[in-house]
Amino acid sequence: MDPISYLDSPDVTQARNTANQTQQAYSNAQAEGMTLPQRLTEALNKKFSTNNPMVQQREGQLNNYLNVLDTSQSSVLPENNNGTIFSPIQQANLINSRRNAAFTPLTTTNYLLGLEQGGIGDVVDSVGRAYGADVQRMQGQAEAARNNYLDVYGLAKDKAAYAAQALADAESKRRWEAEFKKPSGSGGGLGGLDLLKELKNLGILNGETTGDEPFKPTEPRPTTLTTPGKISLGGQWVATNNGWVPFQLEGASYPSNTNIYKGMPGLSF
Amino acid sequence: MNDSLLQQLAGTDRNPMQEQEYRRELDKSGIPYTIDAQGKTIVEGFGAGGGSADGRGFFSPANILIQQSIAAYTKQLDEYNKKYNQYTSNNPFVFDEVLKEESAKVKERLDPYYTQTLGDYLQGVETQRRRSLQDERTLLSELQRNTDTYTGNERQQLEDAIDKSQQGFADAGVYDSGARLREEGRIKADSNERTDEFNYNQEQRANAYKLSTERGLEDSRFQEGLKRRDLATDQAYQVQAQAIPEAQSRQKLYEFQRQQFAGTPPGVNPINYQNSLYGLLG
Repeated sequence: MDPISYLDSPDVTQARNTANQTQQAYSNAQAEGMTLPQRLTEALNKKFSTNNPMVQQREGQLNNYLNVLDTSQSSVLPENNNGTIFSPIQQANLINSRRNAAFTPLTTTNYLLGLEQGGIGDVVDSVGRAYGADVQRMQGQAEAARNNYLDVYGLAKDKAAYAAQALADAESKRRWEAEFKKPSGSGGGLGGLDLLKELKNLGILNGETTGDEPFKPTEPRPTTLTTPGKISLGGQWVATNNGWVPFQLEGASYPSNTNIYKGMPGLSF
Repeated sequence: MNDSLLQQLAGTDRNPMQEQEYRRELDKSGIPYTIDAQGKTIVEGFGAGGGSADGRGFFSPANILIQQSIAAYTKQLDEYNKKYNQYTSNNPFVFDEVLKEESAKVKERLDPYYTQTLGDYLQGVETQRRRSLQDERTLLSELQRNTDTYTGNERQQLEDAIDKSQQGFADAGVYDSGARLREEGRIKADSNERTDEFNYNQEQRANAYKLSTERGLEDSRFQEGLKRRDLATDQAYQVQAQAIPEAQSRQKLYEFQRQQFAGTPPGVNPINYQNSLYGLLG
């Protein structure tokens, strides 16, 4: 089995897709959550100010008050009081009383509307908190899916590393046999250690990594984005959702000359 | 991170083509600008740019967002101010003019009361004056009647006394004597003295009465003057005291209607604003 097929296996693909989807859902929910309070407030405000009977009631009371403002003065004239002439103070009291009587319900409704409007903030807070809990749950799901993907991917990577090493060994052996193997009885021939040293000297194999040191690719980072899971030409980078990341098959080392991979089964460049 | 084209242009001494490109980039980013006399593009807070100006910082994505927000807010504010000023110019409100109108209305409303109050007072005063003059005329007539009666009686008594005196002198045979003429002279002088004294007293009483009436009328005229002045002062006070709140009430209403016309100012919660707006009427 070729190394790449391990990384493209249905398990890895499914885990990756699940991780991507849950991460995307979490990101979307988080972004929505940022604007949710404002949008909810606007929606409630709009609903509150258009379909609220108290708003219409207030309009009616305002019209009545404006009408009383006009009529209250003429209401104290003698012709409207069977000829009774009120003193200036009596007139002022009567006028103020009529106006207050019209103004009181208006202020009461306005006050109640203010209280109602204050409730919008509470509604927005509660919805925001509930939504925040949902976002947190989605974050947990996304993290779990990502961890699962990393586990599955790590396993596949190990399998691919073994397969790649096997391929490299086979290729090395083939090339060695083709290039260096002397006819039997010539007294030549290289041992296993000598062979590796020779391959390094020829630049076919680069230096080995110990596994303890961080892997530093010698291949330049590819600049074009591609499908996650795709290996770079030099084999030292793998495409992920977060871009190209260093990639090393465990136990393997890579020749700087990437032409060596051309024609290998399962590797497409 | 690489600089954007706008950042690069902002930090460059731009040629005319670059200047045009700079404006296009500003338009794309929604950043307002003006053009000065030299054809340089001026961005508020950044100026004409070029040279050492920090275009990178000023036109960073965050700063562009800030600039766009300011531009959007400024536009909304301009629209609000436009409507506000439109209402003001179409419906000018001059407090003094409104106060004058309200004063006229209040005066008209209070006039019946002051007309009635003054009328009632004047009616009382006129009655009092009429009665005083009537009483004076009655008294003077009575005095005259008394005088006439007294004068008649005195004349009769004088004639009787002279007759009696003449008869006495005739009986004594000295009718033609000088003593009779002297006695008659004395009787007439006594009678004249009594009549003069009576007339004098009558005249004194008539004069005293006339003087009293005249003083009463003078006092009445003075009181009327005071009353008219007090009522005028009170009416002027009441008119102002009631017209000023009326004008204030109209001013509040005007402000309310202007704010309703202009709409909610940018950046203000519309419901909060509406609720506060009604507070203007109180």
